[in-house]
Amino acid sequence: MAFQESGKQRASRIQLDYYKRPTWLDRTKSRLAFLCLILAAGWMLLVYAQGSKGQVAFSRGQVTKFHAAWNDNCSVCHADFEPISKNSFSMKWLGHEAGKNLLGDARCESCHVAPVHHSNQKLESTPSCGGCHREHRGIDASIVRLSSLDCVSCHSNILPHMNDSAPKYATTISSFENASGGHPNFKLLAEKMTDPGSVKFNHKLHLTPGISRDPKGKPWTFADIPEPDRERFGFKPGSDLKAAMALDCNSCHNLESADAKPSLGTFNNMTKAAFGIKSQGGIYQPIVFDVHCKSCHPLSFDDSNKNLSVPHRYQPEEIRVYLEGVYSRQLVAETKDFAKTRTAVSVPVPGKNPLTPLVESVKKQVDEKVSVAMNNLFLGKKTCGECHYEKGDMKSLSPGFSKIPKAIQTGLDPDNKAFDWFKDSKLTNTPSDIWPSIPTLWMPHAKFDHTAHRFMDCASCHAGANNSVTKNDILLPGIDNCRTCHSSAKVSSDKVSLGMMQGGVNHDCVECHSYHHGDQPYQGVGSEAWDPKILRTIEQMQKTLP
Amino acid sequence: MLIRQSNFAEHKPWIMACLVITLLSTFWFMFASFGQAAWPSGSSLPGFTFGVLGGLICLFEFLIWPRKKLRSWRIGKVSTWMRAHIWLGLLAVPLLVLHTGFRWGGPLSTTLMILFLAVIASGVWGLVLQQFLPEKLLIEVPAETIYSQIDYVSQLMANEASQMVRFACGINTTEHEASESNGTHRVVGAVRTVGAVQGRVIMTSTLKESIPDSKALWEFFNEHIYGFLKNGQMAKSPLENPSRCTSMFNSLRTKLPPRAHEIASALEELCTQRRQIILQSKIQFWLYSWLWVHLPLSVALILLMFVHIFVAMKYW
Repeated sequence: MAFQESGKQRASRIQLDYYKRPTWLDRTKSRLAFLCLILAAGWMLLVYAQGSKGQVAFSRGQVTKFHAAWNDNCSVCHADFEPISKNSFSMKWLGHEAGKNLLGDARCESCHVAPVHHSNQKLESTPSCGGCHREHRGIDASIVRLSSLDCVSCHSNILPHMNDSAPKYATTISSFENASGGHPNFKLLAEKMTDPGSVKFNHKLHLTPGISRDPKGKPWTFADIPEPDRERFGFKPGSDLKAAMALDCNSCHNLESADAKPSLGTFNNMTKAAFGIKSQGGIYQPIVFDVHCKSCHPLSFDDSNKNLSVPHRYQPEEIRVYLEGVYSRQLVAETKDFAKTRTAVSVPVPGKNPLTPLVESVKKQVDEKVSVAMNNLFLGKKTCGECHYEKGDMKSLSPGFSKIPKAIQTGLDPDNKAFDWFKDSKLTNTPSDIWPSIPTLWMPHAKFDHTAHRFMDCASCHAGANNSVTKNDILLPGIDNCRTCHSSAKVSSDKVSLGMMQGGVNHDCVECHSYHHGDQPYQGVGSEAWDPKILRTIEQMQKTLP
Repeated sequence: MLIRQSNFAEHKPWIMACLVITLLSTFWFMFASFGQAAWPSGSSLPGFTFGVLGGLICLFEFLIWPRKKLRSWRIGKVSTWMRAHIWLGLLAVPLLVLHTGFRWGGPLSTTLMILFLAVIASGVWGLVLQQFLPEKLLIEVPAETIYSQIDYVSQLMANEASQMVRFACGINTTEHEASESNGTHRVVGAVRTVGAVQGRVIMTSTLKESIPDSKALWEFFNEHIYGFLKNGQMAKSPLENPSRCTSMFNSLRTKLPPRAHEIASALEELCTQRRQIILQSKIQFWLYSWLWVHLPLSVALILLMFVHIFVAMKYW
């Protein structure tokens, strides 16, 4: 090519001050940078202008639905420049003493009062509310469904976290999964305790069709119980009344009190517990004589009138007074002379009661009838003595009473080894209550939901009930029974289910335990501590401040 | 910055340091999470440490902007700054991901993380482009000029070509062109100012005498060449296509007397240069346009990072 321009020629076209002239690429970059700066600063200004409502921009995530009303108000829970968890390394760094009570905790506790986990735990080992109940994990997240690691961080070696006294519980628990995890068997079973209740009961007999000790003896039939109660115990209308009754667990153990109607003639002095406690179905209702026993075991005292019965939960002297009233009323009504004398004697002679002979006669008859009735009730194996002990005589193995007892044993046996285990249980501990004489909850430091297990055969866990002949048996399943399902999924090596998958059901600590014991208020431990100290209006609640 | 086998030794210490710090950080993070219910959050000791380190790196990364603006300061070599910018920027990714504890968090922290990842991604994109585009520019654009001067140089080229063609075709020059020639020479070059002195004569080329029967050159110039030289791609000229251009100039030569062929060749050379400048313009767009994302988002990132630090301390 004839014409070839050199680099020098090309360079001569460049202005010397070219570097002072930005390109459109540079200009666009600068404009976009300025725009981004304005947008970022504008966002922050908008947040600032919105006040507390704008703080939601700084939230690290939506709070759970229970706290959603305060999602955009950080200061409801957070104290400025103070960690939400006192286990944070920044405590010292931000100028706070290790283990001190945080203002943030006080803000939680202004609504949520909760008992201490254990009176023996060290303050510095006690996490702050936010240390375990981690918020900002989404509206549907649970802040109480904690990982076992939260518990195991102390319980894998509990001694350094306790004050000086000796531990009452296992000191090294790392998991529930298997025995090597350190979780002991349930205490009542591990220490081979016996039922501290004061009611005799033969499960085997009651689960035997016909409810008869003698297989060839007369079976107990539906005809032997009042007609209104038959259906409740399994009678189907139109079927044979002479058929032997066959009880099952549900005949007496009911999840809801409403399911079990009291028998006819139940007296009004029943405690509210018979009807009042409406659980969510997780806990079986207490066995109540008037509901579960009376149909077959009426407290009849008069052979001439089987419909007459004494009320349950009366002590012998109270029964005597009751019987005197019943017979007095009956005899006064039946003695016509009382009515005649009143009309014949118009002017009573001072110092002389014309009715005295008659009264004395009735009184004598009443005493005789009461005596017979008391013997019917208390002597022999039937009625009272069939189930109850004389007070202070819990060791007696003989059924029934040989004489009329001064008092019936109520409540749990204080001499029983298991008594201490249940003493915190509210229903068995209130001095004014004379009942129940059977523990309502057998594992007061844990929770168990029977409703969640309602698809299972009772005997798969409570197999011992079929052969239990004494009240002393504690019919709880052992921990290994639970671990069959509540453990990691594994292939069974059991002969029956060889090769099948087993386990896999939740087996973390909070499945059974609660740190504050608050979800089982029956149990007593901490139940009163859950009562709020301050009651608020709706407005006060919504702008909660300490 | 090129990362080649030839200069890998300069990058190797940075790469090794990044890998070692990443591994140590990951081990610490995993160790801290052992026995915990959740991954350590940004407020845990390891999370906080990673956050501080990541934040300091972000600040350092941002300082390359003023460093480029203030080249005369000479705070370390620019190549060292660039290596640190690249490798520390990449190191910030694992550090800040560990700082988050694998959680997005709320609006501010999510925005921060998205901005950070966008800045990193755009930076990596820019780094990748820089590995081959400058080489492409060097090979395919020998007529490369300064990017900011492309419009100016194009105008000059069009003017010079116009001067040449008018003289060859015996057409009166415009007043403006007349001022740039003295009848026997044409002036080539930009107006330059040095202090109070302003001038233009850097280089001249001899103008030939006018050539008869070269009207076709004047028509071809007006129809195709001037617009293309001046406006480049915007002119939508067939001269943008090299083979078409050759074909058109060959066709033009058949219509011109042999004396005018030299002028045609000069014009063809200018068109070739113009095509290269068009290619340069495209390459440089890709070479620098990633900064439209990288820098503006970095500005927002740094501002919001300070807000995040304050809020995190306040609501720990």
